[in-house]
Amino acid sequence: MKRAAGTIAVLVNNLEGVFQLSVLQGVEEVAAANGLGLVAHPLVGLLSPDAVRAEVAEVLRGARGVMVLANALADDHLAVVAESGLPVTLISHDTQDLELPTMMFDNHQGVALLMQHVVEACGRRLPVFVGGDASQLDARERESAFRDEVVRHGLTVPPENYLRGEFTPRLAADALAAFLAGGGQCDAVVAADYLMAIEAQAVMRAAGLRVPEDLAVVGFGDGPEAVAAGVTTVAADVVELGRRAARQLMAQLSGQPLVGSTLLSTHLVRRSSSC
Amino acid sequence: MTPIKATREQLRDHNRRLVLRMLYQDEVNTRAALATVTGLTKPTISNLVGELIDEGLVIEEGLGRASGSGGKRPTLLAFNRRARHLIGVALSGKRVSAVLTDLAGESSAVHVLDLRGSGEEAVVSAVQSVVAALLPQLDAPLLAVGVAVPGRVRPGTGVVRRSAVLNLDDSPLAELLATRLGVPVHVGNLAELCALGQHSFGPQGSAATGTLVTVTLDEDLELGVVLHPSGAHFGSELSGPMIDELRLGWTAFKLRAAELRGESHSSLPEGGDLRYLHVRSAEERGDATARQLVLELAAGLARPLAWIVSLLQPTQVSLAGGVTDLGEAFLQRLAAEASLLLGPGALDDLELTLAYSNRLGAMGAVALANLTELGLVA
Repeated sequence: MKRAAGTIAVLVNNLEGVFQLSVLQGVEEVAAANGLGLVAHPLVGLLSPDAVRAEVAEVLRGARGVMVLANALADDHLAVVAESGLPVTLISHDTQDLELPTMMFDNHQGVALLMQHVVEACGRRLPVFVGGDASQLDARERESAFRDEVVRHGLTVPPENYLRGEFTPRLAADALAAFLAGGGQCDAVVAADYLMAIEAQAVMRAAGLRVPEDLAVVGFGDGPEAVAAGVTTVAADVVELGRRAARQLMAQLSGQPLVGSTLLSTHLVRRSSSC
Repeated sequence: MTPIKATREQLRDHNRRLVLRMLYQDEVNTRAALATVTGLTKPTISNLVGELIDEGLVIEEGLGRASGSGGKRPTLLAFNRRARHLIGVALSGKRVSAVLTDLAGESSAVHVLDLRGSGEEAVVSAVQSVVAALLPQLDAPLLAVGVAVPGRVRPGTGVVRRSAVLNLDDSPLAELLATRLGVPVHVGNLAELCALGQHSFGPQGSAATGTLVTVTLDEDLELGVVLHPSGAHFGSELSGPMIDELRLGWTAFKLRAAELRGESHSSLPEGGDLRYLHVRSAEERGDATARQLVLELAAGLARPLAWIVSLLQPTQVSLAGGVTDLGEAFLQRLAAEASLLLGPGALDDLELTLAYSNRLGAMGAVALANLTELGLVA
């Protein structure tokens, strides 16, 4: 076994989420194959910029390269990482002012595929959208893409059909239950992630609605839970996202300066929750 | 002796491309069948297939059934789409986007970058950057890079004759990029490559059996053509006072929107925030300014469309670029305006479609690279 010739620091917003753990798994595989170790740092509970600055400085000490996952750091704190001079790759995040390369899913392409399926193949005209955590770029892009597709398909979706699920299945379930209790109308659920889509399917069935006969349910991203629940998704393999980001960082470590956004393609996986 | 050698090499290259194309299109899958359909001798086929297997482009996939008269079971052959990767780059005045695909055009990643500045060095550096960003994502050797450029490209040379939006004049872009990137680079006009991308990787409409014309409208109006049955392709921007008068580009559209907004109340967003999607959505809600904008655009675009239909008699005309966000209603209005110019029934046999993909130019650049390097087209 190769001895680790340094480490990659990965800054994350939490260490419990399925998304975060899957990304870390992918990064670790590639890092290990290149003789590097991985140290994950959850940046939580740090309120003052000075505290974040101190923590980041500590984290960066000894690291060969840095990855920042989603909204783990605000832009001004990202500047601290950029100033360190270490190679940096952002995952599922973007920043206008700092020229840091980004690796993320092609959210617009993925949502377009989901909507094409729901509207054109399944003939649904009144979807409800379950959005993610708006502090994360993925959530903002997926909602923006959904709104564009609504216009492209000539649909009229009332404001009450836009729900906040915050990428948290329990909150998605609460929002949908409240929507139904308030007399909300829909013939499809489009969720900003597959875990919320799985929960949506359960809520709808519990309310006596038939999936997919009365209601199609689809979500962004894919994982074994979606296979088990039979939920249609656009496959966006989160472990692969971690691997791809790590490959990018390896190129940067070898001296290749990189800028711009790399978007990973997704594809539709039809299951029993839709037509 | 030299000319004879060249001819033999050309013949061999032609045969190799023929064999590879047969396997790529999945028409045959044994050495014997290849010999039958190509008319080449079995030893020639064996040599060519052996070479393609050595290069990884063809793989052996077990044994097929013996022929009716018994005998040895043939080894099945298959095209290995993952043996090489291709990168297709599309340039606009503001952005560079590049798509990484396998040999069948299946994309695994896209890289996008804002284009800072214009002129030869800015363009070459930007293309170099997007390609560099995709190199770590390769799972196989990079075969070639294709580049789609708005403007006029000298056919077959990779020289950009003129691109107003990129500020290029007589720029040997393919040669400059090949030197920097160390792989073959092929350059074509953006609309030409949009047409080629649609022809190669798009949903197979009537374009499979007839001439396809792709009209792209973003900052400028461009025209790309794939002819049937030869597969010959060409394209260029349409420019000059005659086109300027039609006020078709995005800048002209925005200026007109501002003028009309000054005349009456409108729900359209102002200036930089305006998109075609806003216009479509406002028109559907009964906004008079949006309606006027769409009517004027349809009337303007109908003129070049009428010339295209009369001259090329295409089976399919596909509208591409940002304007596709105006949707099917715009397409119907465009057809109605063109019919007024051409007379009744002139568009009856024409399939008028929207090519929604914002990756069409980059996919066309992939198709150009694939076609030039390996002779492959779907």
